[in-house]
Order: sequence, then C-alpha cells, then structure tokens
Amino acid sequence: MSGMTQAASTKVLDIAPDVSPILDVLEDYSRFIDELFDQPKPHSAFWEGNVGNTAIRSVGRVVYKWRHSLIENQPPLALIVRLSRKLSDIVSDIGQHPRKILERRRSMEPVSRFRELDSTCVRWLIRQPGLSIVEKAGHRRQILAVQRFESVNTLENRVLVDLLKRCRTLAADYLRHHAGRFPNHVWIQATQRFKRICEQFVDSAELACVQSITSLPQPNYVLLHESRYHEVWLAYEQVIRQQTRRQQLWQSRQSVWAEMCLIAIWSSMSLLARKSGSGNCRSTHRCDLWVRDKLEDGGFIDWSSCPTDWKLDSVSRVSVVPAKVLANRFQTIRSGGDFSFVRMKAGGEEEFEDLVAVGLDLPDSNETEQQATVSVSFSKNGSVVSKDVPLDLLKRPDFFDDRLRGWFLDD
Amino acid sequence: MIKANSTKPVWGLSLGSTSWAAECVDGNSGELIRQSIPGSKYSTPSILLPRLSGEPTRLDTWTPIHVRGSGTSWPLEGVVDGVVGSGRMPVAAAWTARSQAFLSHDQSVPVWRWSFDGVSHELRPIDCLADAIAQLGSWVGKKSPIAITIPNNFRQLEQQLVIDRCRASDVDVTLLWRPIAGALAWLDQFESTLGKLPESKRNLLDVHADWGTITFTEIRIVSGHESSSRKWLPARSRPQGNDVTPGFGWAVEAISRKLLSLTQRWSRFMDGGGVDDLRSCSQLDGSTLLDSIQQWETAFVSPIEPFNSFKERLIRESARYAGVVITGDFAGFALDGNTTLSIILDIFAPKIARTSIVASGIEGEKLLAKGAAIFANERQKDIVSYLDTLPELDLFVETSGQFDWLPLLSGKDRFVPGGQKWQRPDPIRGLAVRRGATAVRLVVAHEEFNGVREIAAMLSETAEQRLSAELHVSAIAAQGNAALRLDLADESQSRPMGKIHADWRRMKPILDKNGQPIDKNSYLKMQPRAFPELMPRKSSYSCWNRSQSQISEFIRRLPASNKLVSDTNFLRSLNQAVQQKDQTQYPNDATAIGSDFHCPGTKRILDEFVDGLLQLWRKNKSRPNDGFVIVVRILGYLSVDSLEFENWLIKNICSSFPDRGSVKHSFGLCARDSGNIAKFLSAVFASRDVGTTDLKSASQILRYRAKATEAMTSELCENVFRVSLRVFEREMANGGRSFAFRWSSLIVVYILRRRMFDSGFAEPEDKLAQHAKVLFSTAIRHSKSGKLHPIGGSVDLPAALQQVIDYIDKKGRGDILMAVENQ
Repeated sequence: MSGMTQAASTKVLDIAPDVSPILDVLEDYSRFIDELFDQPKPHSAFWEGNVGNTAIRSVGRVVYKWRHSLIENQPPLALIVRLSRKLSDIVSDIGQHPRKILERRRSMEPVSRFRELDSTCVRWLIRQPGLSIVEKAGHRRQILAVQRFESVNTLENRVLVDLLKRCRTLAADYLRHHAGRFPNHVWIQATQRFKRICEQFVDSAELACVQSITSLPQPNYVLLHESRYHEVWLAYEQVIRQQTRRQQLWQSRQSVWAEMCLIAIWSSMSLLARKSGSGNCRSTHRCDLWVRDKLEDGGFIDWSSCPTDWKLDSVSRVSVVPAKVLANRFQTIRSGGDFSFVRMKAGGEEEFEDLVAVGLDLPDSNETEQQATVSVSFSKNGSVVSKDVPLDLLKRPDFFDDRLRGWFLDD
Repeated sequence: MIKANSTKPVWGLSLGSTSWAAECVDGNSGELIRQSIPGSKYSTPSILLPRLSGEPTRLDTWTPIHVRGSGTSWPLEGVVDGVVGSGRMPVAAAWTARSQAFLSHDQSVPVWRWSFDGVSHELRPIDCLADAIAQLGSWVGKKSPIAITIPNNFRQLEQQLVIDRCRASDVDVTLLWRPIAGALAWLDQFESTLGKLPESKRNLLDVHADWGTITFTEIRIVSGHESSSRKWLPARSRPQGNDVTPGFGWAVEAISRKLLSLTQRWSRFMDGGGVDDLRSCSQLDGSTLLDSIQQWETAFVSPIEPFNSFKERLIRESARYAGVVITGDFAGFALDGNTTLSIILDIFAPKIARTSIVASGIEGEKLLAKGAAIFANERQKDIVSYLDTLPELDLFVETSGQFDWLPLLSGKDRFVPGGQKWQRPDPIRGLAVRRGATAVRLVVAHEEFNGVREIAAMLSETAEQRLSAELHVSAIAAQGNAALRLDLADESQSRPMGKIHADWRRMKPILDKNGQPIDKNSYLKMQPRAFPELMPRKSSYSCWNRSQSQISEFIRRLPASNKLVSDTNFLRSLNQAVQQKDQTQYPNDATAIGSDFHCPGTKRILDEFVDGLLQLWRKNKSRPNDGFVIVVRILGYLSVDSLEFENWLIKNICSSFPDRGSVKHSFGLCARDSGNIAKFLSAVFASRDVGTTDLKSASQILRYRAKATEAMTSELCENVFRVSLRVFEREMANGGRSFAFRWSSLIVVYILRRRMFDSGFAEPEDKLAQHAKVLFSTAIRHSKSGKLHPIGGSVDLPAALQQVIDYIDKKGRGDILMAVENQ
C-alpha cells in the first residue's frame, strides 16, 4: 500500500468515538464559540456584530467570556436543552397526530367491493380468460384493483423519527454528564422529559412503519412551510450540524485544542497585563477577533484579524499567536509547534528576546475524564520542557494565571 | 404655543476636528445639567473603514485607539503609509476635504482610500461625517432630542444624509448652523449688552479656525420675532463665497513635526495632539499628513495671513460688531509664541474684546454644544431661536413665450424662523398646463447643485382645457430637502385635477449628450424658442483697467472743459479706449462699459466721467464742433442711461445735424425708451434704401433692449421685417460681402422678439415668414456652394442662417450665432 493510500485510509478510519473526554471538551469549546457567535453585545461605543458567517468580537470580550464561562451552579445550555424546551410540545402533538397521506396499492379485491381500476389493472383484467368480469374473476371471485389506504411513511415523518432517535442519544449523553451534579435543575428535568417523549414516539406503533433515512434529504414543502414540521426541520439541521461538527472536531482535535489553549493563555495574559499596569491590556482588548460559525482550516478563529501584542510593562511585549501567524510576522522565525510566545523589547519589531514554541500531545481517547491531561512541550532557547495541562481548561480558566510568569517570562 | 408636556432633557452636540462636546439642558429649567466631553479617555475622532463586506463603519474616539489605521506595524491593519493609505479616516480630514471642495467650487471631493486584503476600500468624507455624527449622537443622546451643529455652508444633500443616518441610528436629531450655535451661546452670556447698542452695531462675527479652512460668518442680531419669546434673535444669511479661506493647520503640523517619522506624526495626531504654537514660521518643505497618506493636495496659507486678515477686518469693521466668537482647533493658536487671535482682538478692537469669546478645541466645542442645547430646548417648546435664510430654488417657467427661472423660496435677505417649517405665504399662481398636454414636467434648479433636475407626472386624462396650476412650496431651513406641491385645476370649471408632489432627491438630473449635468443657463438656452434671447454687450475688467489712465486724465482736465473739447486728439484716444473690445471674451461682445451702463470697477469713477461728458455735451450742443461729435460718440460707447441725451439724439436724427452718423450710432447704443425706438425705426425704415449705419443701430437696439418692440405697431414691425429681407436679398446677390448683410440678418431674427407682445406676429405659415425662410434657405445653399463670402469669417454661416429659420419656425435654440462677431 502506498503512503498516500495509507494516509487516506487512516483519515477515513479516524471516526469520532461515541464516548471521548477529548470530544466532550472540544464540544464544550465549540459551544463556547456558538454562544460567542450568537450573542453580539450591542454597545454604541464598541461595535460588535455578525457579518455573514463571521462574528466580529473584541479580544476583551472573548477573554472576559472565557474567564466567566463556567457557571458552577448550573449545567451548560447545550443544544439538546434548547431543543427540549422548544420541541417537547411540537413532538407530542405530531406524535399523536402525524401527517398522513393516502397511498394507492394494487391488490386482489372481491368483485363486489372494488372501486377503482387503473391501466395496469385493466391490462391484467384483459389477460384473464372469460368474457364477463365474473368469468374473469374466476373461482376466487377477485380481480386486481386499486386500493387506497392512509400512510405515515412520508419524508417529514422520516425526518421526525430520525430527529427523535438522534435527540434520544444526545439527551442520554447530556444526562450522563450533568444529571448527577444537577439532578433537580430545570434544564435537566426538561431534557429528561424530552428524552422520554422521544423514546415514546420512536417506538410507538403509529410511527413504527416509518422508514429510516439513509442520507440528508432535501426538505419538501411540508418541512419548509408547515409550522410544526418546519420547527422539526430546523432542529434537525442543528442536530445534524452539531453531529457533523463532532466528527470535524475529532479530525481537527489537535488544532482546535491548540486554539482553545491559546484563548486560555490570552485570558491569563490579560490578567497579567492588567496587574502590571492599568490600561496595559486595553489596547489588545480593543482588537477585533473574527469568529466563524463553523470549523475551517482546523479552527473557529479566522487569523486574518489578529490581536496586537500584550503589553506587560513599559519595556516588554508578548505576542501569543499560532505558528503560521508568527511566520507571517517574523520572516526569520520558524518556531514549529502549534503556537508560540514571542517576547519583544520596547520599540523593537524584528528584535525579540525569547521565543517559546508550544507543541501539544493529546492523549488517547479512551482515557477517563478524570485522568485526561495534555502533555505540552515548551521549547525555549534550545531546551524542551514538558508539562501537563488539564483537558478541561474551560472549567479551569485560571489554570495559566500563576504559571504564566514563571513559565515564560521569568525563567 | 408652548407644549405643556415637552420637558424632556435635550442635548446639544458639536463635533469638531479633533474634539467634540455634548451638553444636556433640563427641559423645564433650561439649565445645563450634564455634559459629555472627551477627557483623557478620548482620542481624535475617526471612522474605521470596514474590512468585511457588510461590516459597518465605526466611530473611534476612545483611547487606546482601535488598532486599525493606528500607525502600528503589527497587526498589518494598523499600518499607515502612502501606499496602503490608512484604515481610519480622521474626522478632521473629512471636514477639510468637504470645506476645501467648497473653497475651490469643485464638486469632486476626494475619497479616503485604504488598500488592504488585496481590496481597495473607500470612504467619502461626507459619509465619514454623517456616520461620526450619527454614532456620536446615538452614544451621547440615547433617545433624547439632540441638536447637532453643522457648518454654515453645509449643503442640503449633506444635511439630508446626516439626518437619514441619525434616524437610522434612532437618533432624534435636529441640525443647527454652527455660527448660530455660537451666537446663541454668546447671547446667553452677553444679551444684556445689546440694548444700549444702535441697530447698525448689532452684528456678531463668528470665526471658526479649523485644520483645513478658516470661516468668517457675520450674524445679525435682530429684535424678537412674533413667534418667539426671545428678546434677541440671531439671523443667518446665506454663505458667501469669500466666507471661507484656506487654513494652516495641516501645514503647521508638517512644519513643527518635520523631524518625526510619518507614523510618529500620525500617532501624535491620533492622540489628539493638536499644534498649539509655531515659533519658527518657516516654509513647508515636506508634505502634510493628508498628502503623505492620501495624496490629497490641500490648499493652505501661511499662519500669518489669517492673523493679518483678521486684524484688517477688525480695524475696518469693528464698529459694526457687538462681539466676536472664535472657535475651532486653532482659535487659541499662538504665532511666534505670543500672538493669538484673542490678543489681536484686545489690541485692535478693545471695545468689543470684553464681549467676545475665544474658545479653542474642546472649550469651543462646549460653547457650540451649549448653543445647540439651548436651541434644542427652545425648539421642543416651539420657540423660535433664530432666523434663517433659505437656499435658492428656481422653477423653470414659460411666460408669454419667454422662458425664465422663477424663484420659489423667499428672497435672498428675507429671514424665516429657523428650525421651523416655512411655507410660502402665497402659492405661486398663474402657472398653467397647455391644452392637449398628457403630462406635467417640473424642472427645478437648486443653488447647491450643479445641474437642473426634472420630474414628469402623467395626467390622469389629457388636458382638454387649459389647466391652471398653483405651486405650494415649503421647507425647513437646515433640515434637508424642500417640498414642492403642484395643484392642478380645470381653468373653465375650476375643478381640481390632481396634485403633484416633487421631492428633490427623487428628481432626475437632466444630462447633456456627454452625460454631464446641465446648469440653469445652459438649460434655458436649450429650450426651443419663438424669439431669441437678448445678447447684451458685457463689461470687461481688462478694458476698464486699460481705459483708466485716459478716464482719469479726462476727469483731471474737466475744470478746463473749454480746452478739453477742442483737444480732439485726446478725445479720440479716449474714444478709442472706451470702444476697445476684449478679444478674450469671445464669443461674447465686451467693452469697458456694458450695454447696461455698468462698469466692472468703481461706479463713482464712471459717474464722475459720465457727468463730465454730459456737462461737455450740454455746454456745446448748441455749437457742435469736431470735439463735440467725439463726445457724442463716447457717450454712445458708454451706453449712457440719460433720457435727456436720448431725446436729443432722436430729435437730431431727422434734423440737419452735421454728423448724423454719430447721432445714429449713439442712439443705437443708448436708446432705451420704447417710444423713441419706435420713432427711430419708423423714420429709418420709411425709405426703401436703408443705410448701413441705420441697420447697425437698429440691430443693436433690438438685441440690447428687452422692450424695444413694445411701442412699435405690428405694421411697423412687418415693415422692418420686409425691408430687412429686401436688403438681405440684395446683399446676398452681391455675395454678402457687406456689413449690411449681417445687420439685416440680425434685424430679421431680433424683430421676432415682437412675438413677446404680439404672439401672432410673423407666424411660420405667413407669406412674409415663408418668403424669409425661402431666402435664408437659398442663402444656405449659396454658402455651401461658395457663393457667399460674408465679412467676419469664422462663423458657421449655414448654421447661423438655419438658426434664423428655426426661430421663424418657433424652434430656435441658443444665442444668435450671427451676432457673435459683431463689429
């Protein structure tokens, strides 16, 4: 097998596992990005807004949200929670009265009861021996005729059933993670209730004959314009997008985690700069960050808009950027790694004092959440130091605060 | 009437170049209750150009500034240089660009460019200003009513753009002229001093010293208006061309920071670092910031010039002013360390210095914002705060076959209540839509736009009867566009036939074949006409200047008038000087004094000169000699407006005066009285053989004087027409080599002006008109076959002759080509 074919087959086989602490963390991060994207903060002085698929947010807003994203007294507002609040009534309603259509089917009918013939039935009838219909019906007294009956096996119901199955899985995952800590929280209860509704109708006799979906369908008129089914379709799109993203997150786990780590370090840099002098962080906070609504080039952040350096004191500034951005800025530096820290002297653009290249080594996916840490190698002045960083950085936004100065500035 | 519930706090906002200020007034007490001013947290206001398609422009006036266009080398959007430009446009640059365009009367305002991401981003100065005002207004005023100051020459289109942007940002905005804001703030402080002053001294001089321009505006203070409880009201006149002069801000910045790099200069500027002092006023040997970054060539002057200009104005006119208000970034600018505008004021106008205000930078903006807040508060109570003048708006009309522009808004000096809706008290009546018309077309000219615009509205049914029309006009000064409403009614039954509303913005510009807008005068000339426009002789400044030495010599020698009249050589040279034509004004006919007896120089000199000439004429008319004849000719070349002289001329045309040629010549140039003109033409055209001088004089009278044909009978006009055609035919047979050919052509076409008073004169189907057309068509053929060789030369003769035919057919357009090379 050639190298290229081997690489291709490896990529094909790199399918997101059903249960993975890494994926859970990355999904938490993507939820953080979603919230950032969905909530432009109206402020007449500092504009924020969404332009097409890009959200323009200030670095200050991003680091503030990072530090305050973890609210320990409630479970996360995941997609399944939003869906459970929005879809419970709709699903109950549709489940009890699904949309039906009249289908035609040819079957042998007693001569006394048939109502409709089509051309196929007529052709069949002609081929039968005999002169009259009674003779052609033969001894069974039956002829081929068109029979009408109600069916729920429609595209919209197939989408509904598929959505219910997916929501059942999502709800189960969510409850597995959070129900233990917040058993009485209203979101948990809503999710539990929605899971029960999903299970009730997925297995109901009414919808049992609905076929499953093999690929993402094109929405029909009902899905687009019937109010209840339209909500189902929108929810289905969101769920599919999230599950597709889960696969993408898995395939780009290295770079997405690096991006997350970068924001964590910015947050700590912001604190460090603020402590070194009031206003030192404000210049960087005012920079625009372009946040995309989907993964592109292995991340959510579009580095076409890049923040300026973090000013730590009157003489030194630190730039924390992905390796590719660093290479664009300093043509002479090839840092390697996933991202880099550069400390510069006052006034010097091309002159830098220290370069720290950071490489990540994600653990296997089958480790348990409690044990999961990332091995991070810091390469500085030729020496490489490896350290462990917890996977769940979002839950520990202050992780780098104390370590930052010692790691990158003082030693 | 005062609204009982309108007691909301209101804001006044003034956005200067490098600073701004907002003042809040309590609706009940009228006291200032809050202010918002840029302190240490603010930088020079700028607008960030969008990078992404769909991204809005953003006001940035906070510190630290946004990285875009900040002058930093990283990230790349911060870079500022002459190649990429800058991602932020300072408000100072926008004010400079629009006011410099006003200064040069150039409609093409430069745009701010920024090349980034491989895309060229652009922003117009007016968009920058409108967005900055709207965003600042939204930030300051929230939902409160807010009055925002605008320059005195802010055009209607610009006003409307600002209003639209503010409304889109949910800002309840009213605009106020900046000098009026200054005057209201001044009145708030010094109102009590006005009572003692005579009316002639109740004027205020407003000076705004900004980066690109310095603006002088005179505001009259008038006693209270009927709809105002104010004792004194500032009254604003329309801006004059010489109100605005180039400033020195950008040049001074370049001189004083020439040792710094471009990015350092830019950073200093963005930090709100204005230039306060210039010790060494050397020449600018580098480039201004705008030139370096945007290649904008801005006009500027040495700082000394505005100081001197202000000083001279104070020396000359300080007696007329009750006070001076000086605002703007350079109001406190010091030259050579000690001379400031306030010191000049103290030295040269100490009497008004006590009641004057010099407020630089933020202090100036605070003052203007205060004035705006006072206005906003009074406006919400329906109190008139100031008086205003409206821009010139003209409607194209046809009256008795004569096309003209009819002024729609009030006269130039008439004041209307400022900030309130003004409605023309009487609608314009006497307009009509022709019988058989299927549509109505309104053509309107606005002084602030360089082209006329039209709107056409289909009538619901064809006008079987002549429709009378009334035009209602309303406008709010400084608050955007004027509204026009045309009410149509059936003339016979007086039943309403519909209304047409015209909005200037929705009117279509009329373009020429090259796609350029057509101005008022060109449009007038383009209209098909039944008779030609007058073609008067213009006055020439250079000719007037050249004749000054002889005129002065004449005035000097006047006391010895007896000797003067005998000095024929001197009189001939004087005659030569006043008859000399200005070739540079071709194709217009221009001499030192126009046919309307106006000179481009000092009227006093002309009056003295003419009085002297008339004195000589009176003394010597009983015993005419050679000198006297020259005096008569000179008076003719001056087209002197004297009925006594004119009566003497008409009397001597038929008498035994020794030089009747000079009399006829002078009459042709001076005649104004329609009765005298009728007598002259009747006498001249009585005989079959009309002389060349007679023809010349007749043609001059007809082309110079609007009412030349008023007192003539239709029979006389027909005779003039017939005789002139006869002369034309005779001269055509001789190859058109004489002046008589030209004069007779001119008489034929200008006698058509009789149609003004007799619409049935020389109808295109009449026998005489048909004959004229045949003659001129023959002349065209002869001209094309080379049989005609008229004197003059460069006129396109076939076109000129065809033009005469067109006028006979009532389809004429433009000035008469044949009159261009009049000798």
